[in-house]
Amino acid sequence: MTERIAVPDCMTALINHAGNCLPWETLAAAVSGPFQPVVESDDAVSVAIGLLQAFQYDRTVTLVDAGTGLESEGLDPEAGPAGGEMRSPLTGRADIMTLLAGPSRGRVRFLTSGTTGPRRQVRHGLKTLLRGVRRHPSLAQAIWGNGYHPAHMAGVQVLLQGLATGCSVVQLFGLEREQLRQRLLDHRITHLSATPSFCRFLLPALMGREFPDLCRVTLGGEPFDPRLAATLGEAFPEARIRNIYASTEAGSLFIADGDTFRVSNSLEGSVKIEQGELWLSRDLLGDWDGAPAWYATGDQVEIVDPAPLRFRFLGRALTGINVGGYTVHPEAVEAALCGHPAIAGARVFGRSQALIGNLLMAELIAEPGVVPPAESAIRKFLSRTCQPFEIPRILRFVDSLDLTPSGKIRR
Amino acid sequence: MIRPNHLQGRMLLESINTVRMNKGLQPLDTLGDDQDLRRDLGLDSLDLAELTVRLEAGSGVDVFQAGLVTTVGEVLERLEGQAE
Repeated sequence: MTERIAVPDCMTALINHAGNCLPWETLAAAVSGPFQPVVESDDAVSVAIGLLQAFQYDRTVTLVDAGTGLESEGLDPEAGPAGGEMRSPLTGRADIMTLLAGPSRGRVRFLTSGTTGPRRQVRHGLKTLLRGVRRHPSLAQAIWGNGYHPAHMAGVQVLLQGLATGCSVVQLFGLEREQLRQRLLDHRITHLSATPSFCRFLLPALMGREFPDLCRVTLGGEPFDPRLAATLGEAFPEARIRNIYASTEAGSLFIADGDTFRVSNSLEGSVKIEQGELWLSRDLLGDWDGAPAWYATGDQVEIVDPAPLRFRFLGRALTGINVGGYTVHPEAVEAALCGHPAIAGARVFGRSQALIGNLLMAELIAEPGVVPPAESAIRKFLSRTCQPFEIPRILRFVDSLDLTPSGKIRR
Repeated sequence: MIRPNHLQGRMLLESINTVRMNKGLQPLDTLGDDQDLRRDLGLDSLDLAELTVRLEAGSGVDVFQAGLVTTVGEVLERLEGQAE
């Protein structure tokens, strides 16, 4: 028996990006409707129905982000073992929570975009999907703000956190700043999950307003930015800021207060670091064709403590930029730029150049109400902590940074 | 010597001065055709790469595309030649 937390009445399962409220009973009825093997959508409601159908029908549901242009055409439906145990139709919140308490042979399949690694079709069951779900009694009345695309792994994790614990999830991804602020206030969101880039985008809308309900911000998907965390701490004085390590291949794995992840005893033996790269053993992963016994994540990390293992994330191996024969991690330079008091956000990228391979360039977001500093002043600031080849040679202030459909800085 | 009304010359002087000032060097009042970009103007490979991107933004010409250039005069030739 799974221990269930006592929850007060909570009428709404989901509020989608359009602001429509979906009651638990409606969600339950939709899940018990005809099975859909492929859900190609940007709407949290469709995704939640598909997600739950996988477990209700013990089959495989494929989630496709309608915005990425990843074609679901030609995708084999891969419905999985049919004729599993026939479950009774769901009627409401309690049934949905029971369904997610398992067991189920259902699988959810994600298509990775292939921008930072080979394109994969990764299947997850309840075990890996629910690993990151927190069931502390203090979360009984949580209202989750989902800053991720609902059909991506990170967004699904937030949806499941809400659904598995009987709490409402408010979809925030893709909204304009003013709408975001309004959703935070109107729905009294207590827990916000998003990328650092999403939070930087949100910041200007937070100034001068109070958000007494917000008690936790969980950042993930990109390197931790201590200055952003400090600024968020000022905007949300009641909130604790946490940093999570998760991926489409593994789901959520480590959570940290700051930039140093500690590998818990239960994961020891399933995690190793070789030549500065993080490796995960198969038992932590979803399943895909050709999944190896040990999976190289492509994440460059630095060991802080060998035992018990603690490490810091440096950047993606594949995002390294060759500048005159040196490899520059753009994430590290972005972090250095964001250390400047006038800079709220940065995107560092290479521009192909005959002489030195790539010329390093940066797009910057100024802190609200601050006059952007001169290029030479920023470069001087960087020269204190960066190597000469790590200093972007062309700096430009912009209104917003180019982000991927996952809300991360585009590489 | 660069004539003050010479369009490409003025752009080159401005771009070289931006690159020089970004690395803490004094701006120059004028340029000579025979000046060596590295030896006389104090620019290294990264500076030259920056200079080409700045020049390309202003003129649409990548001065290093057709091979190495070492002097101010050679840069001007590329800018003028390809701009025609």
